[in-house]
Amino acid sequence: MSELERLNARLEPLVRRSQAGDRDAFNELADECHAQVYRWALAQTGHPDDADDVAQDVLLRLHAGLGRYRSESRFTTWLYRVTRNVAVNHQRRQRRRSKLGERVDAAMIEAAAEVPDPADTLHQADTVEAIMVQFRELPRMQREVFDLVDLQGMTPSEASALLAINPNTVRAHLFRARKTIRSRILERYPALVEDHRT
Amino acid sequence: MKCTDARQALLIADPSELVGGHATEVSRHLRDCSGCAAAAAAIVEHTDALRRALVASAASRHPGVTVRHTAKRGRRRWIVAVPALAAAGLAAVLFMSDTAYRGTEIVPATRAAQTPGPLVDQPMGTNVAVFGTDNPNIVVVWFF
Repeated sequence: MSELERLNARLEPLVRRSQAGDRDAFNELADECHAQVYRWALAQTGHPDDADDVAQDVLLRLHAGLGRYRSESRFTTWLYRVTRNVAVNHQRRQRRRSKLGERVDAAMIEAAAEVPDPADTLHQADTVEAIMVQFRELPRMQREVFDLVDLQGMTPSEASALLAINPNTVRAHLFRARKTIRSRILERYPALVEDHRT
Repeated sequence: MKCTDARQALLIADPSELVGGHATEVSRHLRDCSGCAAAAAAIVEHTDALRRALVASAASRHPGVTVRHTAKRGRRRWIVAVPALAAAGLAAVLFMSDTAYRGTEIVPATRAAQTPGPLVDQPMGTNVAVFGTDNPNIVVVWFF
């Protein structure tokens, strides 16, 4: 069972109770799904602050629109589509803002740099920052697919079902995203490149 | 497989191939070539770091959402109360209060009592603020 399926199994009973008017169940539902919604929003918007706005908006819409969810698809699939719509609308509104990740979340970098040697930590943090910027600069579809498959562990088929696009299109986006991100990683290690050239 | 080809393949290979656990050409090459294996390890390590960063970001931004049930204009409404909204509301109230008081004078209770004009009873233990208005015949006296 994938992580998303496990999440769905936890959420479905809460959804039913919320639809029946149980306020505590809705609080729990919002609590349970916020991290995942934020994560999707971050992949879609590329910026933590925008992801926050989107996640908040999704929770409000979730509350207002939960009655319209009819169990025809998985709840997580429905929630993903709501998140996506909100993110797209949000980005339309934000288009005037400067394009991409000039602000990198320091907490994210610290969390990523779990290397004991201080010199390594500095290099790692620097590299993660560069990769994070690169991740944010990916075109939206590439970023979404890369996040779903390589970072969240979905299969390309699962991602294609969630995104409602052809599996081959998913793979094409995935390969482009991998190539960009991994090239950036290797650029940070000139010794490895030199070693390869010699 | 040559290193040149392996380096190209590394850029698009599945993550599981990068750890050399598969029977694919890339995996076989990584088991035999320490240089390409180091490159693959760097990719795996930093992809993991990116994953951790995103997970940490999601975890650190949990809003602590609660739902309250309120009645407004005779109609049942639900609101989602978020601490940030409460803070924003408080800031708005303070700002409005500040704006409303600008140009007025807050005077000590003793001085207010000595000011000639209409007599009012000041409740014990309260302060008083006197607000002038555009209309010279109207003065607002606020006990607080």
